[in-house]
Amino acid sequence: MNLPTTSHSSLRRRLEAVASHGRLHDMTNFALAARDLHSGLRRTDIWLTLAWLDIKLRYRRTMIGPFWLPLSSVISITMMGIVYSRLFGATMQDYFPYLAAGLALWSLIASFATDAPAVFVGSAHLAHQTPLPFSLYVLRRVANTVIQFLHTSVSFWVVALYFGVSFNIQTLLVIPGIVMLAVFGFWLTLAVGTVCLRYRDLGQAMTVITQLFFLLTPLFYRIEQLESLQWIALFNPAYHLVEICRAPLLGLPIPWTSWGAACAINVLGCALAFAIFAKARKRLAYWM
Amino acid sequence: MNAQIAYQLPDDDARAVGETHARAASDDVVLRLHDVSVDLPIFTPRSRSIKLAVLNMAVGGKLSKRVSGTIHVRALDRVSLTVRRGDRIGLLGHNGSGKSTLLKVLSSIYIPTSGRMDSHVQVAPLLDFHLGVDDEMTGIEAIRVGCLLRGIAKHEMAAAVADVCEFTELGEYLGLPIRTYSAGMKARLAFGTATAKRPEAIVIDENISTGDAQFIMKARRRAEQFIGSASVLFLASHQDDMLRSFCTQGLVMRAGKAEFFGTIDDAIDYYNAGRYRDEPADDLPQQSQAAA
Repeated sequence: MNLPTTSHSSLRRRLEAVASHGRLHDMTNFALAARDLHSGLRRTDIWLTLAWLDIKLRYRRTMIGPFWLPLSSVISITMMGIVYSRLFGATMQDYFPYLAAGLALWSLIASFATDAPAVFVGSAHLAHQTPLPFSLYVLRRVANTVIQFLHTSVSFWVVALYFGVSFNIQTLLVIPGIVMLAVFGFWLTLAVGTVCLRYRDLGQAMTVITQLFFLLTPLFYRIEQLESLQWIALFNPAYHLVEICRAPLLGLPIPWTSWGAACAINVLGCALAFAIFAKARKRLAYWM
Repeated sequence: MNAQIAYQLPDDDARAVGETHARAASDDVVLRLHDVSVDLPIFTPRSRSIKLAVLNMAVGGKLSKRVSGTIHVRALDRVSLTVRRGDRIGLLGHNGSGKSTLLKVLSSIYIPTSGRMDSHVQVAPLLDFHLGVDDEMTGIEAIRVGCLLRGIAKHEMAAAVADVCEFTELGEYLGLPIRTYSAGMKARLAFGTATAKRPEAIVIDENISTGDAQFIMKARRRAEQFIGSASVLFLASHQDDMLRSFCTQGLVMRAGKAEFFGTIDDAIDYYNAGRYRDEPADDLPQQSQAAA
């Protein structure tokens, strides 16, 4: 025994060994999942490159490339704006920026929800060839969606400039708002992706659920217009997630209630997603 | 002594690898399997349904017989194996005998259902040469992605990419999409990328594509450099000449069990003597396709 392990290893190194090594077979589900998330988050080089490349390849296949997505949303905002501003008796000045901000943010939430079921199913090929952390596929998906959103949200800025929305210092709060949305996207994708790998029919349900929330979320109408039914929006997580980003974009005061709700949603969601992921992590590769 | 050596996943940083190396130096054993079993679930559409699973929960499991139609296939059955530094092990067996599952356990893609694996080396799987490659990518993008997915660190990236570019001899073609390449050009690119990293332990499954296997023999010099630099090799193959030229030991798998372990010549003889006598084990479903 020329290598007495305890004498030469500092406490820190031993703690590190417990945290990041240990044998796979007798690691607890909890440690295995934590380790997966840790090494996934650390490999920014891999998931950012893959997410960026996914977008590049997608545009390479389309004819008018990067112009197509913002263009299509500008067209639909114009159409909806003209019709609905008349229906709701609002001025275009007020209604267009509100609609454009809401729809851009909704497209982000909806992409998270509808892409989540396929995240692991679609990564099966990679996951069977190389032992990358599973959280890396989630991060790739989320990064891809956020980059895509930053690109399509050009439509909002076009509308905002045209109608002269008054921005102020609080507009910068949209940045932490988007970070909150990305966190939401991460836990949603992790949880739904894991369950969908085992139960494939949840994927179809997600499309229906997303459509339902689109109608229940004040996007093309305002929450005040719900009058006595405002609780529908207040109990809707999507409303708060949209509101924390939409208010600063329209130069409105900070919606503290929505910030509180969004934080609570993300804390609970992360805990739930972690529990699901930890329970399934050992068998995820078997389910692919 | 061995019990104190930590398990190593391939994505851990080089510093930790050096450390485990130093500790393992007193012992030649680099990898050990103890009674490792893998039970793969074979799902039916019914067992894939969350609606039925929830319904079953609601009625207190009364539907369970009909709902949980999941069958488990024992893809690996209590396999024990001790691997020493310098071992070059060929895997033989029918399709569905558990070769691919064993390779996936060795490369930490599958976590065993039961049993233990103690590993002190970084195992790099080489199961598919075309890892992460999309036909729409340019050659240089494919090389970059392939290197990233195989765990090449940031600071080694430029050198690795340059090395692969040189090997492929594709020159200006590297800027063009891969769909414009000929089959031979694709194979060169894939093989060059797959062998860009020099891992400590390599796991090769040539059963996925015969074209790739032939390429190993064709690009022999690079293959030998790649395999020679590793301290441990696992190679699953149906080609006797390939097994003989790269391996020193052979492990014959049958119905998930490790049936014979000896020198590669003995293993090939054992396998060839047994393959016509026994009923083929092909009725066992292929693990990777079964779940899809």
